[in-house]
Amino acid sequence: MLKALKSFKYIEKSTIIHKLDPRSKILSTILLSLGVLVSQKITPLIIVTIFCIILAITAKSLRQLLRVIRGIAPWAAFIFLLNCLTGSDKLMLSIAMSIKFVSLAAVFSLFFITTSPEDFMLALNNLGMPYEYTLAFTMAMRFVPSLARDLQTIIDAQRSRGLELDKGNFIERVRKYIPILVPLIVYEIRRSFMIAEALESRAFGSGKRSSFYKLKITYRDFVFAILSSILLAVILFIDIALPW
Amino acid sequence: MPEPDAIQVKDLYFRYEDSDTYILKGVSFSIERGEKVAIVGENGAGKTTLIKHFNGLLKPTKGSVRIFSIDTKTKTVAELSRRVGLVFQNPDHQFFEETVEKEIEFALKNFNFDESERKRIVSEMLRFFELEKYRDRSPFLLSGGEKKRLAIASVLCYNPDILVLDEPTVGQDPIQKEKLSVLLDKIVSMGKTVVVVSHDMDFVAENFSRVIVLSKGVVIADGKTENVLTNESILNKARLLPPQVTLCAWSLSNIGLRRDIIRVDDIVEEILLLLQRCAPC
Repeated sequence: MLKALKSFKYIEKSTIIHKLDPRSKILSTILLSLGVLVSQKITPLIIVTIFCIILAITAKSLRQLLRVIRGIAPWAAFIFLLNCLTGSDKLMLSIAMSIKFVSLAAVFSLFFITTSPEDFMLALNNLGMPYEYTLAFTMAMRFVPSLARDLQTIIDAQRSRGLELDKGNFIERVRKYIPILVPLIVYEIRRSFMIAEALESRAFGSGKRSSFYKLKITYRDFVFAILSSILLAVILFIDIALPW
Repeated sequence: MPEPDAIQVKDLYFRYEDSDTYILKGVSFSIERGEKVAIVGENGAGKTTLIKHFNGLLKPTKGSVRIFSIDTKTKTVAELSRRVGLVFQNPDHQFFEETVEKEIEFALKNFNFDESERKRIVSEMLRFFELEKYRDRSPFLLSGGEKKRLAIASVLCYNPDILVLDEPTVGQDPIQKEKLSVLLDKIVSMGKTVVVVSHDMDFVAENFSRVIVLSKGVVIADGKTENVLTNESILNKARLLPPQVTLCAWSLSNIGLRRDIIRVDDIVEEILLLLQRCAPC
């Protein structure tokens, strides 16, 4: 699970996909995920997944995307099993449901893999969301890796004091997470106060901000948006026209 | 039969599973029982990664780490921790109990000490680390120096043979550092082996006779502190500065001061000698 979280981390690369305007990426992410959510058949869902893989190759981030897919594979299997068990004669639908989950994850993770949190924030601001909210969001994104690192350090420190997490019955094991969760929560709360102070000392909330980076829409963004729209149309058509 | 080394690291390579770059690239050294050794090096040199191998939190990708000739690959972290106490840099990463007393007791419970013994050891530790008056206070309410002492106490309590400290001087005022030096001497005099990771060259110079310098995952020097910390090429390579006393000695070398002085007492002695020689003229 931690590994899958880490894969969401943005790594700066210079590719066409990374350079696209975040707004066109948001649009295409919404369009594609709409298509995925509506679709009940295998073929269109596979098409979306393949489209994501092609984009990932163009963005030189295939390994990251595959890591996400590998991370969620057990959940996809779980969804498949659950669907199989709850209904009879629904094999195709069960397969479609688990692919749906994978393709939805692929669409979203591709967006976060190729869009820097700063770009994303800027785009949301441009689309009218107040700065305070977008900042909270990007900070949350930004602190996922730090949180993972703190968690690892705390686990290491307590194991060094003889804590054995994988020993004992269920209740004993749950109790063993107290020495891990208490320092983590205390530490993160303290850090949030420090961050608040640091933000305020740099005049956070003093009024309208100017921005060094300006978003710019180019012909590439139009091409990308049109491509995504066509794909959505194809998905919807196949979903209605084909048996599976 | 000669006594086995407390820590023996042989051609240790390490990388995390999800990464291709090695953090440690062929590290070898051994530390005898009863030694007091400092490991120094720039940020990201692999110091913390190295000491996490001593109690098995990390296992070598290639090569081996032996603790009293036992391969760390064959033991669990709990088994190794019983002999190797690792004190982490930031005490806030480990406190969770309601009182200082319970915090010390935590490791003792994990290692199955019986109750009367726990009570005895906790009292002994509180006295030893001058924390008696905080016995029933929350660990979160202690000052930085007290927290550090509590963190060391919470590991030293179960009497490990080897004590490893990561950056013990960070955030400590000069008096605390002084106390820490005395403490480390006491621990060594109890027959224990002490390994300290530090950035603090003055602290290392005053307190350690042996230094291991790590740079980019490789040991670039291992020897007597006065030789290593006064060797400019080693210091440059590891992006370290010599102790202040050494800088002083270097600035005064044109009036006849030796260049390999690292301790305050030594430089004072040297200067007095020079002055005595000059006195008649």
